[in-house]
Amino acid sequence: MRRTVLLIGILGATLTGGAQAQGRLQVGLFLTPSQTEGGPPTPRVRTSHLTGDSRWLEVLNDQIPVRLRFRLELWRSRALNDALDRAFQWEALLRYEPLFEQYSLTIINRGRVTEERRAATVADLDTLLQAGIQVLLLPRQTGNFYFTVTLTITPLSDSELSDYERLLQGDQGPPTGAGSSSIGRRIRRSFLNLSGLRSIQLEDRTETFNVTVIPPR
Amino acid sequence: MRQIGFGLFVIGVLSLAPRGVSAQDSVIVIDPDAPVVEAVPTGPPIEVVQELIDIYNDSATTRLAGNFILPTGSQARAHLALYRGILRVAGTVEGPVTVINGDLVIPAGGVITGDVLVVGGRFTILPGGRHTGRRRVYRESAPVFRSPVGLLAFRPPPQSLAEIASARTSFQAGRIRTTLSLETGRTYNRIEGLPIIVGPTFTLPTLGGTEGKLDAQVIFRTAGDQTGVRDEFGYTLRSEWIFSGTIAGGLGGQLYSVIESVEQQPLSSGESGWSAFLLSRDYRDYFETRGGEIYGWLDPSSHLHLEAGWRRDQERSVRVADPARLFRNNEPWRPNPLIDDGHYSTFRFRADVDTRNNKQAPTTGWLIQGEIERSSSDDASPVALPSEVRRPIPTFRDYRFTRIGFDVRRYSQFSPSSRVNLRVVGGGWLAGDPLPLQRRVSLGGPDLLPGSGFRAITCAPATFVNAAQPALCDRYLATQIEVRTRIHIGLTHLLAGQTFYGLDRLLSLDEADIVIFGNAGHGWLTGEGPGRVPNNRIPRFGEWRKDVGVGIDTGSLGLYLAKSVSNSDPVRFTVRLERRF
Repeated sequence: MRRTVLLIGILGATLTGGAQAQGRLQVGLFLTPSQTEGGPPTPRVRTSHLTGDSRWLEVLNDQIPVRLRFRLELWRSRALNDALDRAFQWEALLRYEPLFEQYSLTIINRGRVTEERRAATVADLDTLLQAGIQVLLLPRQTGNFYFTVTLTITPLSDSELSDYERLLQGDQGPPTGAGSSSIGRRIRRSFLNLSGLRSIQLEDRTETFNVTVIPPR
Repeated sequence: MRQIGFGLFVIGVLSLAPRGVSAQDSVIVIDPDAPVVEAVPTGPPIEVVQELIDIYNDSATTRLAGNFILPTGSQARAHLALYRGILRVAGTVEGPVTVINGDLVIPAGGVITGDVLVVGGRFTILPGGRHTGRRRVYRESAPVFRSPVGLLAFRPPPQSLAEIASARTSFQAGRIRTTLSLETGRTYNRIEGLPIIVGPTFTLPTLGGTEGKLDAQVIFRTAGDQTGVRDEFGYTLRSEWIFSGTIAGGLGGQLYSVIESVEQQPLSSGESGWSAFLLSRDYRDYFETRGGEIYGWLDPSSHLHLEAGWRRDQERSVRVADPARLFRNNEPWRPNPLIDDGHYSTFRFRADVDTRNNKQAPTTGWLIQGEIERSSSDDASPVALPSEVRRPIPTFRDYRFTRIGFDVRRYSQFSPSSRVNLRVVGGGWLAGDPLPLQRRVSLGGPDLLPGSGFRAITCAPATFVNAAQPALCDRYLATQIEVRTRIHIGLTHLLAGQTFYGLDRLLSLDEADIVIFGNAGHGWLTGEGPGRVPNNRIPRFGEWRKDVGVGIDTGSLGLYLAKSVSNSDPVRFTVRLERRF
């Protein structure tokens, strides 16, 4: 009975905490108008207030990287049913590097590291995230379209972390074995699980826009 | 690993920013249409890798592994070499420093007076730190590993799972590139067991962007044939001339001796192989074909593929060879039915239209496949079949028949998470004499009618008893509809970061499709007479077998329950390793 009450309490705290986190965090999808009249606008994805939730910040400062998995979809708006025109998926890895006392944002596109940005402070990190990522996912035909974006934010599991570390090092060889930090990380992760900070999924979509001209690329 | 070399180079350039850098608030731009940079040799030069190994393995070198801090005030007069970790020099090092697949940091007060070589990491001098000497930094990691005795050695490139199951090596002599390969036939059946394919491929680039290819492969059959009817090995000798550009295409010819399956359903080749190996259930029938073919193909656009060919081959019955299986070892295999042995000349034409947005998991688009073949034989020796099934094959003239097959699929998405897919598939006799046994069809089983048993429709009369359950129908037609809704499972998160022995990745348990489906189909004998459907008609829909079902599809594993609504068959459970269609 006592265990049940404890579980209900933890569950309640988890749900409440999750709701709070989702209330602050948001992913925004914005359109940059085309320079050509009637041309397709370019979507930009912004992540806001990730560090506004102290738990995510603690996760980062505890040296547990956070993965942001984006899926951007371009939909053709039609009378009866909308049709998925194109979709693109990429990941961003957010880490705190205690050696350099800075945060890093690594963009991983199609399994390869394509860009890395750094931020010295939490405020700089927020600025970096809010500057956003512009994706040149453009309609190839004229018509009515809209974009949707899904962002899944997840603290990396130990195995994923190991994979990412090896990816960032350009190393696909066998791991050298768990270091002393691995145990501490596991303990921190068990607290994370209790606090419900496992994964958050956010979504946004744009208004429908009309494309009448496809400029040559 | 080399694919990320460029990315690491980008990191390397960007990471040269000093400590305390402000956020770079310029927008990150990603172009999904940018060409994928294929694997290119971007790692450190081989001589540098050899230098690393020589330095680390030199007995005069002070070897370190993992993170290491040389404290403030301490002094080292040696050649330091660190493998995988961060070397932080807060004291003084008088001598060269080498870091392999790690970072080197000189914080305030730290001094290195010697050459520095960093491979697979960063070299950072914080304010107050100092370095005098030559500096070489390679961002790409070195392909080395540390042996149990503590020495470095070259690490061979990693292999994918598919590569592990096969071996392949290439070399070039003049303009000819030769590839030697050893792989399995990616299936398992009760005739051959596991076919193992070995042989070279020669590729010769010719003028105008064309390419010549010669492929010679021998197929070793792991299951021996005790009857001596079937050869112990098969072969394929294929030569192709391929051209690419606005319109791609090619011409080819081949000689072959292979085991072919009679029908391509009710399971794919790979699924049928797993079923045979694990459960002694081989859902396909086979025959041996030996002969030669000339063919050509054309791709006028990225969506259209046209192919034509003419072949002359000898088709022969083969018997079950009783290969090993994991379970149900005591159960006999289902006999392999006899076919109408003989030499056949066949002209075939095939057209494919494919506008799907994704070949593996399409959400929108069309796939239309059609094939027609015209065959003749002057020495076919037919198997005796009941007269209700087939009238006698002519022996006073050439035996000729025409057969057709088609598969039309439409994928459409109604919302970001729900899709509706439709399929119409059919085929069979079109014209000429009755079909031989190896061209006949059936229906029922996991793919087209999962609510019905295996070969529920074979068109065999009630009096015809044959344990092989041969397909005897002239034609079949089936339709499938399914509604898929994507759901988030997130089992990897529920597992709290546990890897679940890798199965979470194999089964894609983060997301899955809930599939609600319905199928209808029928197989029949065509022509005039009792029990037959006229050539220009299809059976009434009321006579078709129908079923409905529900399942979950994780992409690489599908679990389905299906119930026939045409009869009182029990609910059937099906496991699929591929999408339904």
